[in-house]
Order: sequence, then C-alpha cells, then structure tokens
Amino acid sequence: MSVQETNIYTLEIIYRGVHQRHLARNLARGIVYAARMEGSVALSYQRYGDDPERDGVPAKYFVVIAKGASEEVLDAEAARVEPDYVDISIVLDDSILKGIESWAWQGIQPVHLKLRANGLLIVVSRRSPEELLKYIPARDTPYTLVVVQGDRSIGDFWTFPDDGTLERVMGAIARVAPNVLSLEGVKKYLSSLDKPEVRVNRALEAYQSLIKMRDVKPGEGLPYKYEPPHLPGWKDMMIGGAIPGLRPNQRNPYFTGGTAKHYRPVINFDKCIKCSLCWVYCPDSVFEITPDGYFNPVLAYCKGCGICAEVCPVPDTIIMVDEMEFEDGYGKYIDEYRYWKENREAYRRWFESLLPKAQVISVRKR
Amino acid sequence: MGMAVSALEAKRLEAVLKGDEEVEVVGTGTDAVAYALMLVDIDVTAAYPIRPYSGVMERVARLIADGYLKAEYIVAAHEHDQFEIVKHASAVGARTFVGSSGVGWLLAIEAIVPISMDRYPVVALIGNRALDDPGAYGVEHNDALMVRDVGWLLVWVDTAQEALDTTLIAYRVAEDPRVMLPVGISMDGAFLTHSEHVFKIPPKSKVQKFLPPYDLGNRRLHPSNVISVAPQVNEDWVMELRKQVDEAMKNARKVIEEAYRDFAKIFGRDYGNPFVEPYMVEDADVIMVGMGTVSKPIKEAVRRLRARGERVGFLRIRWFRPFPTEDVIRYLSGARVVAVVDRDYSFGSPFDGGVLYTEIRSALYEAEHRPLMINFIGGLGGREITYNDAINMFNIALDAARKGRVEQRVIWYGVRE
Repeated sequence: MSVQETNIYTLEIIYRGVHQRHLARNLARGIVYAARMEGSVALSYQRYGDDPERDGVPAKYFVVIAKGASEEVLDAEAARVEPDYVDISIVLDDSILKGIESWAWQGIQPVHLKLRANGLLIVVSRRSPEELLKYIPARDTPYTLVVVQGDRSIGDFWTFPDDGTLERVMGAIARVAPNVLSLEGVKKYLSSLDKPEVRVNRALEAYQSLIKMRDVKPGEGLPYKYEPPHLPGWKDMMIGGAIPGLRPNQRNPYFTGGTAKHYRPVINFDKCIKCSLCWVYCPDSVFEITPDGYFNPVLAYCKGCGICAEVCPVPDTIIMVDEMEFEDGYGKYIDEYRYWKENREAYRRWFESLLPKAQVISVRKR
Repeated sequence: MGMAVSALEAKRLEAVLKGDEEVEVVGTGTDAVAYALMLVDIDVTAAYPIRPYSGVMERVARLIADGYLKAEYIVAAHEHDQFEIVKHASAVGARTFVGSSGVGWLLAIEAIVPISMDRYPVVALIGNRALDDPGAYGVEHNDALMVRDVGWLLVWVDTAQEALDTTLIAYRVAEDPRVMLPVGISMDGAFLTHSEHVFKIPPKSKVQKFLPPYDLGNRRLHPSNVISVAPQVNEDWVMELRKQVDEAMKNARKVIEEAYRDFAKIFGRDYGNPFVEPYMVEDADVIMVGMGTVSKPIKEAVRRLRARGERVGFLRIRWFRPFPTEDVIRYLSGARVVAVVDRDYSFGSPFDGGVLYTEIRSALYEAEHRPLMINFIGGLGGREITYNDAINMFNIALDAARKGRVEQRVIWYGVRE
C-alpha cells in the first residue's frame, strides 16, 4: 500500500456550552455526512476539556475532511485532544470573538489561535466584518473574515433550536471553501433530512446572498498577546497536587472564565438600595463591595448567568446586556462602579441607552 | 485505669507506657496492632465493624475507654465514610488509623485511591477476607490486592509480633517525606486476626525514638497555611502527579530498609531482609513462595522434607508493594522449580494463575537463569492449608524438578471435582 499525498482539511466550530452544544454537534456531524456523501472521508470530535455541559463556556468541535482518501488516512487525526491547526474556524456566537477560556483553563485564547495563515474565520452575526474586527485580536498572519448573517442561535441543555443556522453555515462553507465542502455535498446531505426543501433553500440563500468578506492583514485588530499558563513539572509541583490557596477576598488569576457570557450585568448605582442580594446570590462571587457599600461586578469572573438581575428587587437596576454592546474583553473589562463615580451624568445616559437593549431587567420583565 | 483489661495486662500496659522495658502478653494479631497504635499515639481512627478486621477497632475502643490511649474515635456510617474521615484527618495533620476487610475495603475504594494519590500517610489494617459472593468470612488476599496498582504500600505479616512491629514501621515509612504514601497491612483472617499469640510490646519511650512526629510541612491544611488540595487538573497535570507517586513508591524501598535497620538497633529485633523472609533457600532445588500465614505449614513441610534429604526451601513475600524484585531474583533464580502458593486468584491472567504467581513470573523474566514455575491456588475462602498439603505440593514440584518439566502450570490444590 503506497502512501499518497492527500488534501486534509480541518475545521473547528466554536460555540457556547449548553446553549449551542446541540447545534455544534449537529453541524459537525452534518459536515461529516455531507463530506462522505461526496466521496471524502471525514470524522469529528469534541475538545473534551471544554466541558460544554457548563453554561456558556466557549467550547470547540473539530471536523477533519480528507478528500478522496481512504479511512486510515484519518488515523493520525483521530484520538486527538485538539488539532495543531485548522483551515476554517466557524464561530457560532459573535460574542465568542472576545476570547476563549475553555473550562480546562488555558488562559484567554484568541478566537483564531488555531487558524492557519490565510485561513477562513466564519462568524454568525448581524454585524459587518468592520464592526467585528473591533473585538478580534491582531495576529502575525493574514486571514479572511466571513460573516454569515444571522442571529445568535440559543438552545438549552436538551433542545436544538432548528432555526436554520446549521443550513446557512453549511451553505456559507460551500460558497467560500468549495474545495472543502461542495454545494452538491451540502444539498445531498440536507435532502436526506426531514423538510429537505426548506433546509436546502436556507443553505442556498446563504450561498447566494453571502458574502460579507474582509481580508484581514497581519497586525489588524486588538492588541493582545496570548500567554498560555505555565505548566509545572512533577518536581516543581507540591506533593499530591496541593496548590497555594486563595485568601479571603482574593481571586484566582488562573481561572477567570469571564468569556463564558454572551450578556453581562450593568448596574444602575443611582437606584441601588445596597440590599446585597446580587452579592449573596452570585454563584461566582463576582460582586465586590465598594467602600461606600455598593456592589461592583468584576466582569472578568462573570459567567453571564443573569441571576443578579433576577434577584435584584429594584426595577431597572440590574440589566443584562449583550456583550457586543461593549468593546472590551480579553481580560480587560469596564469597571462600572469607577465609571459611575467619575461621571454620574455620563453613566446615567449610558445606562439609559442600554436599557432598551437589555434582555433581562430587574423586577420588570421585558 | 479500668477493670476491663485483666489486672495482669493492665500492669504490663502501664509498664510500657511509663517504663523502658518491653513486656510480654497474649493476644490476637488484631490486639497486637491495637497496642502498636497505642505506642505510636494515633490522633484519629475511624471504625466500622466487619469481620475479621473488627477485632482491632474493639481493642482500640477498649484502650481509649481504659485510658491507655487518647485518640478521636469516630464510628463511621460505613466503610466509605471511614476512609474519607481518615483522609481528611490526615490532611489536617492527624496521625490516623483505619481498616476493613473484604467487601468493606472495596466499598471504600473510591476514598482509598485519593488517600494515596493525595499522598496522605494513612495506615490501614486489612483483615484479609474473601470477597462476596459466595459469602465467606475466611481469608483470601484479593481484597488487599485490589489496590496493588494505585500507590498503596502493601505488606503481609504472619505473626502477632510481626503485626505489632510492622505497624510501628508502617508509620515510619508512610510518614517519611520521601514517601508520604499510605500503608495497608494485610493479616490473614482467622489464622492471625483470631488466633492467640504470645508477643512482646516495646516501651513507648523507644517508639518515640524510632518514630518522629507526623509532619505534613507546607501541605498541612490549616487556616494559617492556605492551600488547596485534590484539584481537578485534567490532562495538563495528571501525568506529573502520577509520576510523583511512582517516584515515592520507588523511594519507599530505601526508606523501608532504613526503617528496619533502625528498628533492629532500637528494639533489638532484627528481621534481616525487610522485604522477604528466606527460609532454607540456600542450595534448594525447589522453593515455595507465599504470603501470610501459609508460611507456617510450609515451613513445617520444609523441615520434614529436609529431614528426608530433600533440598527444599521457602520464600515468604513480606512487602508486596513496592515489590521485592531484586530479592525475588536473588533467592529464586538458583532453584530448578519455584512453586507459588496463591491465596488469591486472577481469572483470565496470562496463565490463568494467581496474582503472586504472575508477578513473580514477571520479575524472574529478568533473571539470568529462569526456573520452572508451578502455581498452586489454594486455601480460598479460609480453607486450611496444612503441612501435609504443603508436602504434597512440594512433591509435585520435586517431581517436576526431577523430570525437568512442568506438566500442569496452575493447580487448584484441593478443589473438589
């Protein structure tokens, strides 16, 4: 048996734990089926350490496609934790552009960490590539940013919202990377499902209406340098894996996790009655008590669960607002309390501007 | 002091606690361990009754009630709690003791593994007992052997005296900073846990010279030493932490040697080779190998066969983890036939033999001269192995030695057809 040159393509699907795990899995499997239907071999796997059973955690699925090859070509790609590089990154939630902290914490990773030079970064979003670039770190090699028009698809632990995202993403791949997945393959696969016409039309719609593309040059984007955490050797570790603990009021700098949120609490300090319920109920101890008794969210640790807004007893005082409203991230977040202290009037206007966009508003239900 | 211990024993216990002389008492193997716990001054023990281990928890309760020992005695809800309790007590700096038997030991397995992986020097007595089913109180070694791969030091004793001495040594080895691993002391159910021996209790003053105080150093969980233990670290750290255990287990060989040397110096009882007990193995054509009290009938058989001019010997494996590979090669590779008696089983293992047989076979692979090997599986569920049984086994092995070949590798000795 001779070893032949094979074209192997690797795709990653970056999604939010719980909300998008069914979407990510269905998309990964769909790409595998489609690839196989057009005569390629393919496999998919999850980045296990992400633990996507955790709410909102940025998580990854990988798909490997080998064109016109036999199954054993995939052996080297199987049984991996993650691939070395990917040719295409698919981001199902644009707020993930603000950084990735997998549950098995590796620091805050840039969204395109694994993307090859000249790779494709495909993002599901309502925003333009120019707008999205405000949230993406710069890198040394060029890549192409592709936007698939669409709202964020949000499911829950058990349900897959069959909202067309899957079909649109597959149509987009066929458009921008026909060498990886052809439109014929996509059609064949979607035709084999229930409601084939509707699904194929959705894919075609994306295929034809696309495409907002933007070539991104080296150095374009946010200044951010990824520093992976230091992994000690067995001689350096304390016996039995003991680690220095946190003292009261200390936070763990090696486990922030704030990239798990797609919306965040914004506090109207003018209305706050200092009842402390947000501080009590927050499962991640995000709130810090200020010298004058307010509760300020340390957003690097906020996972965006919204419990604070749910328990706040004062109308319109804690609101949950989409992450994309805030041009921060990669470990640096707005200090709401400081902003308020510095200029109450500006803060009030800012809060008022966010209020209509809020997805959860304390006491008042939208 | 209480009236519960006989006046004679009360006087003797007081003597070892206050004086500098050893005393002689009559007691079971589990009594002997309890006296050792009094001497090492354990801080915490967690108890849950199951035969045949339960003798030790009864005696420890008695010693506390009668004022000979001050220790926290926690009656657990079940064996899993028992081992969780001592793990946590050990983590905060308490010298601990625990124990169980058979299925009780296995119920606790989820707590037993973290004790070694988190590196807490807990000492446990395993009163060896057959695993259910079928129900049997008697000895089999499979309970203790269930943890042979997970960082527990394992030692088998065959007299009450050795049980007492080994308990003292176990704390010394376990708590050594180079080791920091738990020790399981195995004792054959019935044949040692429930048989009466005469043994000597050394004075506490000497034990204090032998055993330094338990010191976890910077790993002690305490509000003044803020650390976090047992982290969820996944593939990034796991190999490194397993490697630490590997190194500690290898270090234990040296630490065990040092402990026995000091033990002989301080207490005047010299066990010779700490890891194995060779008995008339020089010039032997056939050497039988076993663990625990099977040594007694085998030694008698050796003496009787030697009297008839047969060149036979016996090697008792004392420390099973770390395994005495070098000693096994040194003592056994000169023989023509090695016959291993397993009071255990390992169904589907390479030659369908017992655990000890398989391990010794593996060690001898590196020997320049590889002897023929026979495996006797016997004495399961507490069935007797008498010296006549041992003679029969020797005769089978001698026959193989004469013929230069083994007709049946594994023999279920005494099993009814």
